[in-house]
This record gives sequence, structure tokens and C-alpha cells, in this order.
Amino acid sequence: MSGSADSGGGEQSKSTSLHTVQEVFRSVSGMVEAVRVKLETRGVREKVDELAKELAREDLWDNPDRAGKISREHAALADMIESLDAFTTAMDNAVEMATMADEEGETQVIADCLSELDQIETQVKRFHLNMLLDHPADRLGCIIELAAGAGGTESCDWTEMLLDMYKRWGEQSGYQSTITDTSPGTEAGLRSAVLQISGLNAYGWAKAETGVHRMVRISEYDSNGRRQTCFAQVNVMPLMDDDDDNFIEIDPADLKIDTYRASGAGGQHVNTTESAVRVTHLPTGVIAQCQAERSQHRNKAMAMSVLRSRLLERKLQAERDARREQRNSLGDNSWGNQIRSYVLHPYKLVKDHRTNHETPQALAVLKGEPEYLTPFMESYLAQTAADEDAVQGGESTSSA
Amino acid sequence: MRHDVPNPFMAQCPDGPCPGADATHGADPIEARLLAEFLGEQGGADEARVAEVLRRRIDLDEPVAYITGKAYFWTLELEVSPDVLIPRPCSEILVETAVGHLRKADEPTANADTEASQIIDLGTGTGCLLLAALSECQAARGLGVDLSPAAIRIAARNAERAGLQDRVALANLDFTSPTLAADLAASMPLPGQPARVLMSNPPYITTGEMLDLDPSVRDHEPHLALEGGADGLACYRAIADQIPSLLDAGVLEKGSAIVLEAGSTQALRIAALICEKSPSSTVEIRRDLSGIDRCVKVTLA
Ligand SMILES: C[S@@+](CC[C@H](N)C(=O)[O-])C[C@H]1O[C@@H](n2cnc3c(N)ncnc32)[C@H](O)[C@@H]1O
Repeated sequence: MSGSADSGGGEQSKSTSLHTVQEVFRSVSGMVEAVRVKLETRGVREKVDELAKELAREDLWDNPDRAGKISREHAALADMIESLDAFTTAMDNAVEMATMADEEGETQVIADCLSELDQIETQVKRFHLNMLLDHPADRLGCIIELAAGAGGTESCDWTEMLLDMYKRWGEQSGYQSTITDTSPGTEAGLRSAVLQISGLNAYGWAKAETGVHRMVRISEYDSNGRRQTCFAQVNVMPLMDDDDDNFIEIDPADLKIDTYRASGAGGQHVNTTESAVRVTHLPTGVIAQCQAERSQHRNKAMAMSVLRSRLLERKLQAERDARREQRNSLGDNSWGNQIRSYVLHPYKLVKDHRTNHETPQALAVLKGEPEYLTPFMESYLAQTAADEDAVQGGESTSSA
Repeated sequence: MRHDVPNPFMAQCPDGPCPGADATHGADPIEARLLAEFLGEQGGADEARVAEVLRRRIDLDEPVAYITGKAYFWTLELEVSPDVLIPRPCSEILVETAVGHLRKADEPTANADTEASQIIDLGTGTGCLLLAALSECQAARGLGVDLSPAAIRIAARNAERAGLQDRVALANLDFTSPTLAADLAASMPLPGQPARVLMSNPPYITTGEMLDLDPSVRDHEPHLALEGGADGLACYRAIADQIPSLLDAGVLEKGSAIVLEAGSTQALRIAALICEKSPSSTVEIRRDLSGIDRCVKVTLA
């Protein structure tokens, strides 16, 4: 595509460079426009105006919590529109500059403009991905529950590897990763584990990971060195702040809170370390329990937080199911379905069965390197969003 | 990363001797973790150390908290020794009840404890109840009382550990003493101001039950903290008897709450004992998370 084939040199290659700049400009502008259209169809501009009106109200700060939320939301959305405008301006400037430089024969300036456009392209791509995280719950942190599938020690080891993968992925993505519970396998590894990742959008990204993860390798635990397959179950739930009742409201009267292991008179009569707490949400039968914390008070707080996460995930899953009925395309990533394989022998490959995204860098994925693991989440998000837009497109003709 | 270090006490399970294991529940991973952490802090889990801990825990039936010297209550980590009762998780309902009353004192909204209120804790032991309640109420102050001088020393260190020493007074007093009202009045951190809450977890195990107790309780915890006389109610009677003079001395007032822990079958009898001294007061009995009537709250009128 470049002018290298032309031996003419000078004039010819300069104008080819400008040509390249214009080509890149067109393709990035196309991306920006597509994003802009998406923002428009989602009514972001209207929403910003609406929130701005709210912000101007005199009684706004009568409810500081609500005011805080409104102003944060307003800032976030207004920011989106501004960044898009900024992309357009920066691109226009770059092309203008390149055109002038072309007239004056300054090849270096043209090259600079080109790399400027490349940078903008990267930013637009990232912007687009962040836009995929548009459900209000996406911005939350998350709880990742892991459980070993059948297959004994091998599966327990695999579960521990996955725990490590997500823990590092969280840390290297700028989140805070905390292991909040583990239950050891009999010989090695973990029968189950709970990882908490806090930070903006952690749930939005990691929700792509729910499902069964399969590992194929030569067993370290099999003396004959045979190839082994084992499974682990991953379940990702949103993590809410204690005071965030935006997402789900729980009536205290619907809860049964008890200590599921204690028995007998209790009190001064016994002094075990037992402080496990179980919370049952009576209308749904959803249960959360915690024994990892040291005091009953803390176990109760943790169990409540897990319960809220479970109930919210349940609600979100129901929403997703309802949408899936309409589109019927993307594989179901609910509890129980195999979503991804990690093959270490005889070749190395990680492959997602929903999106067909794959990489031979299996070890880098298992080390949780965002460069390799995040694209799996991205491809899932991109595919979900594409399906969604297809459904919305179909809908808007009939309903709006 | 907890799972990185193999736990020598879990490794014993399920075949070997396993701390905290019992017929119904199997191994107690929490105990195993606490003991392993303790050895870690002591400089490592070599075989001799593991064996010594197993001997103390399994052969001698020593409670984990006395081996590690630590107990956990509410949000606090507390020092314990065989001079004090190990805080029980079910006692947290007393903290909830006391804090609820303090918050209700001025306004029904949360954080309404801006006005400094006072709490008295009779038989404070580690100080767990008092310190947990104070940790929830930024402006409150408290007085903890115990007959055991060793307990008072531990409670003082725990107050410091929790960073609450400036809001806590401690006194080595006998709650059965005829001069209790005057002694309390003289020791209160806010002299002349009645306490909003008087809480106590007095000894309530009957003399008859003492022999049949689990050995980890009977052979290791202080009997001064456990034994409550023939019917287990001796201390409640003593406390009930003090109410008129506490009111007279201005240590308590109308609207003050008395918040008491009860043994599994005692709540109603305790409520009756207190109400005898204060007939128009209102009673509330609250359950712990095992569904046992654990907490008696009497609001004086
Ligand atoms: C059951 S322990 C409660 C300790 C602590 N408050 C707790 O809840 O864990 C009872 C406490 O009352 C103290 N005690 C027993 N008789 C007493 C008395 N006559 N006067 C003052 N304190 C007494 C004991 O020393 C012990 O610390």
C-alpha cells in the first residue's frame, strides 16, 4: 500500500503518505460515527440534558446521596460525548496538518500525524469497549466463585490455577483482588474458592467468565503421565457497596439469619470458635453463608453481602435470559455450560466456545495477563452487544 | 494467600487428630487456620511446635483462644488469657441491643449518638461488650467493672488495642457490694450523668451443671466468670437488688436500659427478677442467631 514500489521517490511517496493519512482518517471517523450513532440510539444526549436539569434544581442537595449519584452519572455521560467530540476535533486537526505538510514537503510532520491518528484509533477502540459496559451493574466490583468439578485432585488443582489467574488478572488490571474464602482439596488444590475483585467495571468485564472452564494437560498427579481433562465451575456475581440499594431492595422481614452449625445451649456453656452464619432469603430460597471471618458479626456482614450479590445476579440473569429468548444466538453462559478450553498438551491453545476467540499463549492467559485474558472478555462483550443491537434494531421499528 | 501454606492442622484431617473435629461436624477449618497462623507468628510450624499445640488442644482440651492468646468479637481482635472468659459469638446480640438503645436515645435515626451518652458494663472480662458498643457510638463513653483485677488489666489493654482508651474507664469493683451505687457514681467517665445503658453478661451456669461442662470450658475458663449459684441466677438477683439504689444515686434514670445476657432457659425468670424491682418498666427478649432467647432488655420507667 505504501509507495515503496514506486522508484520515483520524492513527490510520489509524499502524496502516498497523505493518502494513507486520509485512509486511516476515514476508517477511524467511521468508527467514531458508529459509536456516535450508538450513543444517539441509546438516548445519551437526552439523558445528559435530563440530568443537567436535575442538577440545577434547588432542592438537589436535600438528599446528598441522590445528588452525588446524579452528578456522577451526569459527569460520566457528559464525558462520553465530550470525548467523542474531542476525537473528531483531533482527527480533523491531524488531517489538516498533514495536508499542509504535504504541500510544503515536510514528510516527518506527515508521519507524526499518522501516528497521532493511530493513537486516536486505539483510544476510540477502548472507548467503544467501555461503552459495551453500559448496564448500571457493570460498573460494580465482583465476586468470583470457583468450584472444582468431578475428578478429584486434578480438578482441585485446576480450580486453584483459575483462582490464581483471576487474582492476578484483577491486580494487573488495576483492581483490588482479595481471596475471601477457600476450602482445600483433600490432597492438593482447592475444592472451592471465593475471590473478590473491587474497582470500576470489574463485574462488567468478568461477567463474561461465568460457566465451566475445561483444562487438558498431562497430569502431575498421574504417575503414568496420561493426558487428563478436568473442569471447574466459575460463577461471577456483582458486588454492591453496603449502602447501594439502587440495584436490589431486600426487606429484612424476608430474611432468616441463623448459625447453621451451632447446637445446644450455647452461651457460656461452650467456647468453640464456631461463628458461621447463614442468611436465607425466604421468598426466593436463595442462601448465603459465611464462616471465613473470625467473628459472627463479620460473618453475618459477609453473608449479607454475598446474598445481595446472589439476588442481584439472579435478577440480571433473568434479564439476560429474557433477551436471549429474543435473539437466540449467543451460547448460553449460564451456570453449567462449558465456555472455554485451556489445552496445554499436546499443543497450547485457549479457546472460547462462545466467540471462537483463541490464543496459543495459554501460559500467559493462565498467569492472568490482561493482554491475553481480557481479549476473551472483550470478544464476549462485543458479541453480546452486536446481538443486542440487532435485537434493538428489530425492535425499534415495531415498538418505537 | 491463605491457601499457599499447607496447614499442618488441616493435614491431620480427616484421619489424624484434628483440632475442633467432632462427630457431627468434622474438622473445623477455622480452628486449623487460627492455630497455623499462631505458629506462623511464633516463627514457624516445625514438627515439635505442631506437636506441642496438638497436645495442648487435643490432650489437654485447651481452647484455641487461650493457645493463641487472641479472640475475635464484633469487629475487634482482643487479648485473652485464662483469667478471662473467652467472648462468645452469641453475646453480640447484647451489643446490637445496647447500640440500638443508644441510637434511639435522642433521635430515632442512626448516628444520633452525637450527645455523649454513657454505658456501664458489669463483669466486663475482656471488655468485649463495652468496647464493641463504644466502637459503634463515636460520642459515647463507658465504664467497665470486674471483680477480677487480672480481668481489669486485660480489659485496659484491649481498650488500648481498640484505640478506645480515652473513652473507657475501668474499675475493680464487686457488683454485689452494698456501696456499688456510690462506687460507680465515683468512677463514671461523665460524672453526674446517668448511664443510658447498663449491660452485663454475669456468670449464669448452675452449680450442678459445672461438673458436666465441656472440659475445654470447665478445666480452663475462670469459674468466677461461669458459676451463677444453685439456679444460675444469683448474680441477676444481686444486680436486680441494686436497681433502686442505682436510680437513687443517679447512676441510672428513667429511660435507661438494662441489657442482660441469659442462659438458654433463663430469659423469662431474669426478666421477672428485674421487673420486680421496677414494675412499670418494659421488657424485650431477643434471640441470638441460634434461635435461643439470649438477651433481656428492660427499659426502666
Ligand atoms: C460471663 S463473664 C463475662 C465477661 C464478658 N463481659 C463477656 O461477655 O465475655 C462474667 C464476668 O463477671 C465477673 N464477675 C463475676 N462475679 C462478679 C462480681 N461479683 N462483681 C464483679 N464482677 C464479677 C467475672 O470476673 C467475669 O469477668
